[in-house]
Amino acid sequence: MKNRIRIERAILNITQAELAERVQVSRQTINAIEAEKYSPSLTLGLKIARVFSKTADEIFELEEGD
Amino acid sequence: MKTKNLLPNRWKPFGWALLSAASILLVSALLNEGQPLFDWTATIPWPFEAKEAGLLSVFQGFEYSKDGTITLQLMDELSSLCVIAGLLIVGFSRIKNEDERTAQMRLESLQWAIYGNTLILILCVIFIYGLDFLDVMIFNMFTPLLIFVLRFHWLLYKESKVAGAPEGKIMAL
Repeated sequence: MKNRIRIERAILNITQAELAERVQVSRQTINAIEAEKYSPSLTLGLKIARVFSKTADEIFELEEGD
Repeated sequence: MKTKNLLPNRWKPFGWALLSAASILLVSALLNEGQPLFDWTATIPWPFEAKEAGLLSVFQGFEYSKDGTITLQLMDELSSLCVIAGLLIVGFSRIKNEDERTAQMRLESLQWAIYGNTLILILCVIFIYGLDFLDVMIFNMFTPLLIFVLRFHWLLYKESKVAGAPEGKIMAL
């Protein structure tokens, strides 16, 4: 699953650690999501989208095979 | 997402301590032909025939007395229980940065442990016969939890290496 977290973070000017703190996960989890090594749960996806004031499908995009 | 059914993180050091101490006792007994490092025996009434006790005495630490009691060596039971409890506590207590992904890593490690253990067991069933298979059964009491703990902590260690920053080290605890 592709995502725009890195871009949205840059726009909001927050670090991985700050985003992690806001959505109550570890920085490593944010790092793994950004690197597309881990697909977050629906709850976490919605929380991340809320931090950026966007909808979930503006942040996450399904890829072929998902 | 809140992870459920896990022990608090403060239990983890206790789990490591218990596991280390009990492993030393267990391994020393294994290396010393079943003789434990320390003696701890208990005498209990044995209401059955002596020959039954005789049959059971093929297992070490079981002595039948003519007054109808048996003397048990309890150190092997104690060290086995402590190793199992230690592995369980270490594997199932929260890490400092517990979240949904570490919960998933834990479950994947558990799946890996069952696959690994089953493979070892299949090989042992094919290649090991007779009383030697008793050793396989003894080791098999520990191997699923052992493989799980090793795999889970290996994943956490790898993760902390990739993530790099000091926060990564915290995760491995």
